[in-house]
Amino acid sequence: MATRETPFVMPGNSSCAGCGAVLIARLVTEAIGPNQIMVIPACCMGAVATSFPKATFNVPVLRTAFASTASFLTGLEASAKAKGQDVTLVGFAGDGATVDIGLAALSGAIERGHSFVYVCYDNEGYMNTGFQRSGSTPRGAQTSTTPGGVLSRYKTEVRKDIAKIVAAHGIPYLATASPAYPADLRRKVERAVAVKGPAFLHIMSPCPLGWGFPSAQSVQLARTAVESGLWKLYELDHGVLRLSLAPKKRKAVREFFAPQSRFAHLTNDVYEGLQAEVDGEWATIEKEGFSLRCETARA
Amino acid sequence: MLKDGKNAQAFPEFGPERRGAPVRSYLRIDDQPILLRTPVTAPDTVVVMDATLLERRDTVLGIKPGGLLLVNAPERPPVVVSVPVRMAWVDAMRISASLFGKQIPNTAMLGAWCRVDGIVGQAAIEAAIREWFPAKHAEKNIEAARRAWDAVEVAELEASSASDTAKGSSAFAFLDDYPIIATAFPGEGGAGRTGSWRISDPVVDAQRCVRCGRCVTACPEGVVAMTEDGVTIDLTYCKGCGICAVECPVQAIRSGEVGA
Amino acid sequence: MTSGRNMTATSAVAYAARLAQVDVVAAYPITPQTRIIEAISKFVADGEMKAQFVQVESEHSALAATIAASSNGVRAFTATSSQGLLYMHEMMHWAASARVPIVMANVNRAVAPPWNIYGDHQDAISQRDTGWLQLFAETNQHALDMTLQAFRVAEDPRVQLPVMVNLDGFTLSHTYEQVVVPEADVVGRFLPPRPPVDWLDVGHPRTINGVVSPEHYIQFRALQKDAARRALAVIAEVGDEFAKQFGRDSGGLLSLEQVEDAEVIFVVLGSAASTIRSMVRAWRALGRRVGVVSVRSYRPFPDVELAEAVAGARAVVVWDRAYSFGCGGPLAAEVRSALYGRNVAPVVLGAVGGFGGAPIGPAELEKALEWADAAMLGRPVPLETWFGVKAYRDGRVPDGN
Ligand SMILES: Cc1ncc(C[n+]2csc(CCOP(=O)(O)OP(=O)(O)O)c2C)c(N)n1
Ligand code: SF4
Ligand code: SF4
Ligand code: SF4
Ligand SMILES: [Mg+2]
Repeated sequence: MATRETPFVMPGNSSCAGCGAVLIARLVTEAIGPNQIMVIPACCMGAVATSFPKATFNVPVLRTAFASTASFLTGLEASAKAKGQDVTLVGFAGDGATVDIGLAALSGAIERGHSFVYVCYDNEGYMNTGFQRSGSTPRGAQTSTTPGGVLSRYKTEVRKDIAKIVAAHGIPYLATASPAYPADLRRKVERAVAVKGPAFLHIMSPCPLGWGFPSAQSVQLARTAVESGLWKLYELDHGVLRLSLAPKKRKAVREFFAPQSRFAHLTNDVYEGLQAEVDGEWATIEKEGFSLRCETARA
Repeated sequence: MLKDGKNAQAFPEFGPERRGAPVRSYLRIDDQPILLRTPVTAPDTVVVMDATLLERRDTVLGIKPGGLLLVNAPERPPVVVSVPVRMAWVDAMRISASLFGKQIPNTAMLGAWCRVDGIVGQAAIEAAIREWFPAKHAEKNIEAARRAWDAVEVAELEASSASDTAKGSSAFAFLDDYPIIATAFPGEGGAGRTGSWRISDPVVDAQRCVRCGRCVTACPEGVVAMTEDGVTIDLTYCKGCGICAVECPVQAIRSGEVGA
Repeated sequence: MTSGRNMTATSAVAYAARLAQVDVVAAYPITPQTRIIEAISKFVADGEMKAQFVQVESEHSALAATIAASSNGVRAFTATSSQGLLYMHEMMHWAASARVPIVMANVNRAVAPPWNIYGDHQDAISQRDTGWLQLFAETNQHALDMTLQAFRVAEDPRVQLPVMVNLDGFTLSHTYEQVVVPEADVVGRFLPPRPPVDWLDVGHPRTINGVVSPEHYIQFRALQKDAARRALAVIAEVGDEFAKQFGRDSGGLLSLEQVEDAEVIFVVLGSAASTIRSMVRAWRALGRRVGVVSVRSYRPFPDVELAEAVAGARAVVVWDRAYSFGCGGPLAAEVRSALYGRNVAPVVLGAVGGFGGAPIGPAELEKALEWADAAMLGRPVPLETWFGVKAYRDGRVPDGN
């Protein structure tokens, strides 16, 4: 069992130096405590979970197939009920496993109301297989399957907003979080554990390797995403929507994009367009209050 | 190789890549077409791009008696081997740093290898560099190869009885305990002593530190601890990402040279 | 006259799940399996069964949830058919290699396209190499009895593998016949609770089914291979014990009828064996020496027992209700392989048919016997025949006839 002496995430694991995902895994498991069972599908954290025969996480981990995080949580919840077992069930999955291949399973599990905490660490692509695009890759990003060339121009589509998709299920608890705001993250994890029924956490997960920035900037970049207004921290608790933080003086969005090689091709006018978009969103928030309405389709 | 009319086969150790993690790649050279497709277990030559990897027993495991061990190191590295080998070393880091301002030792190592191994000629190496690199980088890389050619040093290494190259039998101990499914128990250092991935050490200035604990929370590895004596970092596993230094609000952590 | 209630094989399976006191049922509906999960959900709704019943959003999830539940130590069950089974394929491998002792009823049905909801074995046979044990029921009673035996086999410490109980769509699933439903306490003695599992013990954490290196990987495959082989003895043993306790032979590896002196032996999976039995009895009355082997355990494959059973015949007709395109009937290939290396071996004829609910009835079987007779007389005959394939209008027939 994890104690002060034996940490929740074992040092000397195989995650990249500066990996945001393994930091999130540590913050989340620490916040939940030893009475948890984790389900991890195919993804970077799945690969990091074992260097056989050693395990990285100091809680029981059930590895599963790429699409099956939420269906494993379903089966675990049913078995826990059958046994009268009181334990927190945690899904820890990448964006690909969540917004793409595992979306039907996630949707079904939330609709059925099982009790679990589903954490999507979002590094905005299929990192474990070498940085291919996912449904959560932002527009404009270069990935290994949106390489850009004579005929094509990187990722041209707007990312899915998984938090809104999840919110549409009427889920009891939903929150976005960031490793740059560990206290906020911890509070949200604790709340997610406390609520009855499904809870979903969408956490931005900087990936130095895939995004192409120096590993030292991992946490800072996550902070810049919030301070520039790009990554909104909020929670939806039984229908009550709250913005956790409204940056007083927003940083330029450029500060988030510029250090990353996947955006190296962005030009000034693109930055201006992106800045205008974000400014527009926040102007609406300031005028009408924060809501989860769908933005009109972006060009 | 191909330039010298030989056949070559090169492949990495397959698996997900992790930044900073040690990687192993294999190369076979033959006059005949190469049909064998398995990892090289008894190499004629081992090229070590980072001397800290020599701490790991498996780095030189299997090298043939009389084989060549080429190391990227500023001075003669302390190596223990179980068979006699010819050891060569060159400070490829310094060569590349002076030429490119960055540590990319590959072409320097190539030059050194070309000299001490001798199975591929210098002209073929230079032709290959010209073909591989765009023109503006080619000449500098050829210069790196030439400098290493000149600088490489060689020594004969005796076999040491102290070294144990036998493979640990413990690798399969799990079979006795958990015979049915792949079961892994929490343990540190699953990926080895990841401290060897570091290219700089985080150094804490105890005078400056205000004990806010930010570095403890922000370290992905969880190797920063707050003790009575202040902040301590477990350098056995610190990967040197540098996050702690960036996150410290009073700049009490700086990047220092490895092992300084 | 058997006592018992009139019910379909799907109802019989639902009763078996209830008698086995399964803890978790996760499933997704598909014809002709639906009756199983409808009946179970009603048992649960009426408090007659204590299980957690979850109707999930897909078969992939149904099997995934069942695997997770079983990994947490409870007794878990699911049921499917055809497209649903195919949709599970990734998790089929997962279940077997994760060594979870779950039991699944598969109501055999043809696979699309073209769409067809009636019985054949293409669904089950296409999962042949996933590592599941596969039993085939011949009657509705078998469907109930085999489900109970399947849990015993799956949970046996020598085995620890998932078991699929196959029952033919419509021929069994929608046919009413007499089924004896045993008393709960008798079943309780035959099938004790599942031995405890500590895989997900929060007091002693570990990560299971993670990444391993090539040298480790094959170790786990070797363990799985041994377990599947050991299942041969366990299935036989459990079948004997069941027969002793319940007075019915409804398990084991093979069921042999009149094979000792037979010149021609039919080998078949599932409910067609029952039709062939009736034909064998009729042929015997006419003085023909014909026998039948009903293969109850398809995986593990009782190759030695099967070879022993048919070796003395002159011709063996193996009836496949599935096909390996570009190769041949899968069961026929395995019977041939089981006979390989014997000095004297019968000719093995591959009969293919009964697809998508097409009959394997007296007409087809008479034709097959004529074919076997010709082979015995040494006439040149094809080694494979498709039954029920009609000629085109211009008189041509598809190849193989
Ligand atoms: C069914 C299936 N398809 C594809 C894969 C290959 N695969 C493994 S991990 C992965 C990407 C994971 O992406 P994500 O969920 O975002 O996690 P990340 O690696 O980025 O942390 C893919 C495509 C797989 N394991 N299973
Ligand atoms: S590729 Fe990115 S997400 Fe994956 S381990 Fe490396 S840093 Fe973490
Ligand atoms: S450099 Fe700092 S943050 Fe990074 S692993 Fe080392 S101690 Fe942790
Ligand atoms: S972040 Fe800086 S000031 Fe705070 S505890 Fe760490 S070293 Fe000390
Ligand atoms: Mg991802």
